[in-house]
Amino acid sequence: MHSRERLKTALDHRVPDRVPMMMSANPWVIEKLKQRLQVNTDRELLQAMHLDLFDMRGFDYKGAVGPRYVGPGHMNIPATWCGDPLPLFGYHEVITETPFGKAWSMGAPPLAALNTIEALKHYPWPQADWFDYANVRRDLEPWAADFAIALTGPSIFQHATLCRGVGQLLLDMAADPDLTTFILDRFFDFYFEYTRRILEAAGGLIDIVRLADDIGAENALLVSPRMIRRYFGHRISSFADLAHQHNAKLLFHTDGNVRQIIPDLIAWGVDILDPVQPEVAAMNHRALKTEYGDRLSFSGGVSAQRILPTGSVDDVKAEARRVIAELGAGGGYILSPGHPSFQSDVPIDNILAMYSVGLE
Amino acid sequence: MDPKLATIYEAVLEGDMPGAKAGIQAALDAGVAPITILNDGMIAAMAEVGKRFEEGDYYVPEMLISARAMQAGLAILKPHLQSGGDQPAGTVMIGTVKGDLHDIGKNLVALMLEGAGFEVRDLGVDVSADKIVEAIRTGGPDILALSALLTTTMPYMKITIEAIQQAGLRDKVKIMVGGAPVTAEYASQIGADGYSPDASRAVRLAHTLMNA
Repeated sequence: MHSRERLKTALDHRVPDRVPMMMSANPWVIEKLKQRLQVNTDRELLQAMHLDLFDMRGFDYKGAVGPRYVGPGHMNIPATWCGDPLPLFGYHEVITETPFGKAWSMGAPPLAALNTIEALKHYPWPQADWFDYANVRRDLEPWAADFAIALTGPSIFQHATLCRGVGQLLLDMAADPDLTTFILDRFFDFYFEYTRRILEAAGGLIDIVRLADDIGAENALLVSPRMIRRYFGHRISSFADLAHQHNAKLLFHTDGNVRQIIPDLIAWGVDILDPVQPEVAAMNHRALKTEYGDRLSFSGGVSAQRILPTGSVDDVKAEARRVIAELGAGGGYILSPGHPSFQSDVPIDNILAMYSVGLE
Repeated sequence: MDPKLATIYEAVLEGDMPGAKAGIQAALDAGVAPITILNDGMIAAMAEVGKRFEEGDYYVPEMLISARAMQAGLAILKPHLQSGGDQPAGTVMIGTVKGDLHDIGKNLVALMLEGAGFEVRDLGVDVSADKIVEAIRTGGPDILALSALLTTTMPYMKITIEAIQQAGLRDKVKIMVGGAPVTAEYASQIGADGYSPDASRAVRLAHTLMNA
């Protein structure tokens, strides 16, 4: 089965020849995987690991295939730019050292000091016109020949939290709805039009549009269902409609406990929920599959807080088998970890063990 | 409840910062004792905020605006309190461990502890074990609160506690830990005195540790 057919079968809630698989990881993990498997390129790594999805934002979300930047020179967008949208908003990550090696973390939020709509109006917000989309189809075709394609990058909330400061934006949401809406509109307006033009240029090659927006904390939603409906409902709906118009599915990524809002996500058109963190009791896989499995697909679920970083190879295999059995019964599941991106503390053997189960 | 205190209580509970400030000023002008304003108006309101958070009625944004109203009110009240010589509920040093820059959880805990009458010294983010040892040595807090969001930085909690042990300071300070991947089991494994799953329960834990 071609990866695209495998993915489409699973997302149509039918049983494919085997579970489709996707992976993201930080660049230091990717480097170790390449060394272990003695491959050089991302394509070779996808093939060696039998992964089904090529992400246009790359394994490490830093950009692999995207439109060309042709916008203002003073924005300091590097010539190598190819799909990581965060620098467009003035946001930069920093690298920190951990006991396991390097990790990316949040840099200073560029919108932190802009506390009025007037001040925010003067910020150099990115425009969809800053890009030339003519190359997208040509650049995607070689990937689409072998893999299903995911478009990762747009965000309706998380990128706003990174740029405004998560605490500040959460406070804004309660204290100043007009300011909050102004900020969220700037992100939505850009990402919607940018995504629309990429989908149009790709001409049907994109299978999944991935919105990444953490609205769950470990124990509960980060904000109330009322606020989620008010601030995010119509925006998620718009992205779902857009994806569906181009024959793609909408994947919504949010960490944490979002059980309470799942019926809304389905009503707004979300097709796939990621990463269904197994450590969160309310996100019980069996219960989610029983309650929503006919209308909603899942990705993730393999314990990334406990088993992947600290378990043995056998523990990881058992965990992957459990998740495939529970979330993948009758299709509707993409194998990936319960945190979207492998961090430096996950042993390479455990990563390979997890995906080896997908081939069983 | 005295209507002046009820006004302050409601303003803090609703996150109405101007209302809280005006209410506190009015109560001071009317001669209500500052300590009564603090305990019965503000701390009582923040306790109710914590209760609503635990019950799933309030979420982080509601908690944040209440804490903001509380802080703005405290700025007005503090000069009057100091003259009364009132003692804080305890002193807490708080920070995220080395390598971890994620501070929303840590900030919430700090705000809720302040709201409960603790004196909080925020060490910030990415705080090394050495810095923490030095801060305990010079600051002498009752409680040290450590936060980590990542599985990759969580082990620094253990390293930090070991460093405190080696410096001979372990019995001088109670240590509480929290953050997404942290569990009660992990907390006891690394020799912390307590774990809390959220900011509201962190306040309860801090009170328990003070009385331990």
